[in-house]
Amino acid sequence: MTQISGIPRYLKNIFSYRELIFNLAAKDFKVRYKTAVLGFLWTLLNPLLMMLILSLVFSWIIKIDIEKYPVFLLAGLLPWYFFSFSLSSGTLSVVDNANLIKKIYFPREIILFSVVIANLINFLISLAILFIFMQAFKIHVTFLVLFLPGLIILECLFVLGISFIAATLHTFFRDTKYIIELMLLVGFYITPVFYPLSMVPEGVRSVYLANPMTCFIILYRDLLLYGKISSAAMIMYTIASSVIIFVFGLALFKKHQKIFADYV
Amino acid sequence: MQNVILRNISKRYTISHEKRVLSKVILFGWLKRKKQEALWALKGVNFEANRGEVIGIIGENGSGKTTLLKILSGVTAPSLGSVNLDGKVSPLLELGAGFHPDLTGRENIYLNGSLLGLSRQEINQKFKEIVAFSGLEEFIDAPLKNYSSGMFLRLGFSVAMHASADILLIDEVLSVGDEVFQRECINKIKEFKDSGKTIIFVSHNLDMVLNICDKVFLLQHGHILKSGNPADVVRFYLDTVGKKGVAVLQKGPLDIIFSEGRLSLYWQGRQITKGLGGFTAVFSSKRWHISTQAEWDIRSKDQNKLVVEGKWLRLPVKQTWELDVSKDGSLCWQVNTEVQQRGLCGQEQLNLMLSDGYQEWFVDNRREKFPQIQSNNIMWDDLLPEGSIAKAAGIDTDEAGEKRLPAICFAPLEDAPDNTMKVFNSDFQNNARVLQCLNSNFNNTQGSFKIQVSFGLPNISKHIETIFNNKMQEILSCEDQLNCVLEKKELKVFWNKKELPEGHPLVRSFIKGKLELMRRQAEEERLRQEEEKKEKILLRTLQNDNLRFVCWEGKMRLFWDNAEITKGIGLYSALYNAERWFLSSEIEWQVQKTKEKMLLRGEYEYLPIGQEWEIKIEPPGSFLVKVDLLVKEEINIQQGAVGLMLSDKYIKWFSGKKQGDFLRVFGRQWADILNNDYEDIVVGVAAVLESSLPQVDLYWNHKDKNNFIRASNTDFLYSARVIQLLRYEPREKSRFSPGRYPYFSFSICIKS
Repeated sequence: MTQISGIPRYLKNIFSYRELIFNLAAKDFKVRYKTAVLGFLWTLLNPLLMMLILSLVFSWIIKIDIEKYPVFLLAGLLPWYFFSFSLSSGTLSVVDNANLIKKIYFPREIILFSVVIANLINFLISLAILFIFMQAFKIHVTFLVLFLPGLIILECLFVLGISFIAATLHTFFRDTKYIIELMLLVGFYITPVFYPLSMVPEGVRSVYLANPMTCFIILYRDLLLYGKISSAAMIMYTIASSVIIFVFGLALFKKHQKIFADYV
Repeated sequence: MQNVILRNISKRYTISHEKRVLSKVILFGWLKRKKQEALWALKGVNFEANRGEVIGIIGENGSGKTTLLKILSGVTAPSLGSVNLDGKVSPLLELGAGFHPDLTGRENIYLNGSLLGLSRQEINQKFKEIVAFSGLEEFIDAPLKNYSSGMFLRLGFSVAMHASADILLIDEVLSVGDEVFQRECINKIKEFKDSGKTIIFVSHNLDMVLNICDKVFLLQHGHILKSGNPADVVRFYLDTVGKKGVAVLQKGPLDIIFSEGRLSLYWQGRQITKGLGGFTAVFSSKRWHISTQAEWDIRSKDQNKLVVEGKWLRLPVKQTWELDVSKDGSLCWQVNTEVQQRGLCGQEQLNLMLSDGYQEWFVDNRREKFPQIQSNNIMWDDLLPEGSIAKAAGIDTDEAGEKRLPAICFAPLEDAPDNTMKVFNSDFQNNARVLQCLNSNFNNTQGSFKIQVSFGLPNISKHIETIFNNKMQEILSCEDQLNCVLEKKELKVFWNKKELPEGHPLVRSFIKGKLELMRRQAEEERLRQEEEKKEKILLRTLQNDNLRFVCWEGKMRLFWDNAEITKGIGLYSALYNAERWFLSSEIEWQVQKTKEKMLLRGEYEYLPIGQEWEIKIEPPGSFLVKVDLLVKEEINIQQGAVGLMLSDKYIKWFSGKKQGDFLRVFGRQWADILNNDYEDIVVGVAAVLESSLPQVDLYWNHKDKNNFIRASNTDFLYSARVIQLLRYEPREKSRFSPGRYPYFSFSICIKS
């Protein structure tokens, strides 16, 4: 085990494990879908079904007044599901890979990287479906879509940061996953996923905006649906909070990963 | 060159008795933390390895082996201490770790390879080799869940071996798999070693450890108990394996290992016990129940003392052993036995089975060689006579040099009258010497042995005899409590006025002690008398260089270089009276001695005559002898003679003019060979050349025709040669009236 000093060396070391990250992600994929008939289509089915139900509920029953509601909904659901799936499987990933962690040394971050990358691939595929829906609803893609990769990377950092914290906690406290699940459930409703921020009362809007996921969803919608640039403050806040959470999460994780093998 | 250095490694695990729950922490904060128990899996471990070495780590389950490997691999970090590794460590603790059963062999090779830090390109390069080594070409695209455990392991080993690590860790592998594969693995490991890589290897397979390791570390309870040469460490380990009943005492050159009811002793790292080593046994329902069948617990242990307690599983018997190593390095082994029921056990014993390198045994004042153990001997051979009661035993070897086994003394510290020492040759399988303390009269509910085992004493035989003497003294000193009475021809023995049954060991002991004492007193008396006699003889001895004249018990004898040349009655005189010869050997002599002269005086019992002899040293090699007659009453003596009766080793005689051979045979009568020669003045004998006997002459200066010389053979009873001087008295002069008469005057000359 070489002592790592400095961020470049650390990154180099992680980079040298890139194949492991992809192999683990591929393993997850293969294992998950090898036994299922529909294969990876299952991954797409979930957000699509959700979109269908929510569209029905909010267009025909509650009659929310939003133009092209299914596309609006999908643009919020997909980033949320990326976050939600990554976090819930990331939380469990260290404990679930106990047999690896107890028997083999490798940088433990790799596990979380691979989890997020696996979910990212899902996310990217479902984004393709979103583009199809956009075509169907006659929404034109503007040049701003070039900023999409940057936004996705930013969300990855945020997701990783939160997952690092959750996975570390879960290694030591096994009830973390219940808390995370509860928070995700609540989060789904207090994040403007199926409604616009404009429907939120003015007074609590600033509290709403403190939630980075709110910002992410607004940024995605502005970028894809409305073709407009969000406020600089929001962009700065999103970048800052993501980077801070990522750095904090990674630092916490790295501090404790040495003894994970004793607890998993 | 060292590439693995661990210094003072400790690893602590915390055991919390409650589940760790985040919600509780959130609700109640960190303040209400319960106390956690710490478990030190490793404590202050120092470990190092060199390039090109195969290191074995052995130890019981839970001794910390795997934790050590985990620290080496980086899977976990030590709580304290430093890890220094030079080179890439194989991160794999277990073969096939990380394999996924749903993936194919091929997919697993890539996954596992990347876990081991190989790039896709490297795996591509090595893929064929990996598959070929595993021998699983046909199955490589089948999912792993369809593999047998052996195949699983082959693939795991193959991948691990191809990960380009400098330090390879292997935990408990190779126990599965067929023999061919095991051999391949060993070859591969040797290949690795030859290429300068380090292999650290944890195993329960001691054969393999002995086979391939250069150095072995033995872990126990998180400590390195022993390290070094595989053979030594493995043997030490075999002696200490067990679950809880194992402890080690070390003092100077002595290592004592207690292991589940038996002791193994090592002297300077070399095992001196054999088979079961030190053990005890109790006799119940017609068989011996050995201490290894009991369940043992260690009660306390410090540097010098170990207390263990054992419970027999099928008997209501409990034993406590106290093992105490004193400053001088001897072991005091105390055994207390508790039996729940009186009379349940008839006997108990304590044994020490020792190496057959010992050849000599000692018991009390005996000292003997061990006989060879016959290869068909299935029983133990008791080397002491039946019924003997011995107080101390010992064992020694006649080997010399560095590898010499230490002499061992085995003696009770506190004497119990029921205990006796025994020495055995064991059965041929154990092929050991056995020292035993036996209590053959164990009917009580409590019994005890307290044995001192001393090692390497310089004079073991003397030591044991001293112990024995002291014990005998003790037994005899209790005489006032012990009384023997002969009643109606029967011996009755009372101890404190209570009669003891016949054959009670105390009685036997006492009688033995008594007999020993009597034997000793007799021996002392004999020695005293001998000494006295020597002194008396000295008073009746004339020494003339290497010629000695002794007058003792009526006989005058001559010695040459301490060998007697006279025979029968030696130098004598004889007087002829009333048809009968009166020999001077009948006379009780009174001796007066000065430095050069001896004066003998005595009287015949049945003749009124006394004789006075004067023997004077006349160097070189001569005695001048004068014989005077002291006549008290008038008496008639027709003939007189002086003679020397000599050994029949003389075969030649001579006089001044003649010489000849003695007859070879002895008859019923004396046979004269040279008879009544009155012209010569000398007669002598000589031996053949080979014999060391000196020539002996009698010189008699006379000018009388009544004096003669003679050489004869005696009868067969004496079987001796005789040379004589004779004088005849003319009839008118044969009557002696009272007074003193010089009778003979001659000299004895000895020439070598």
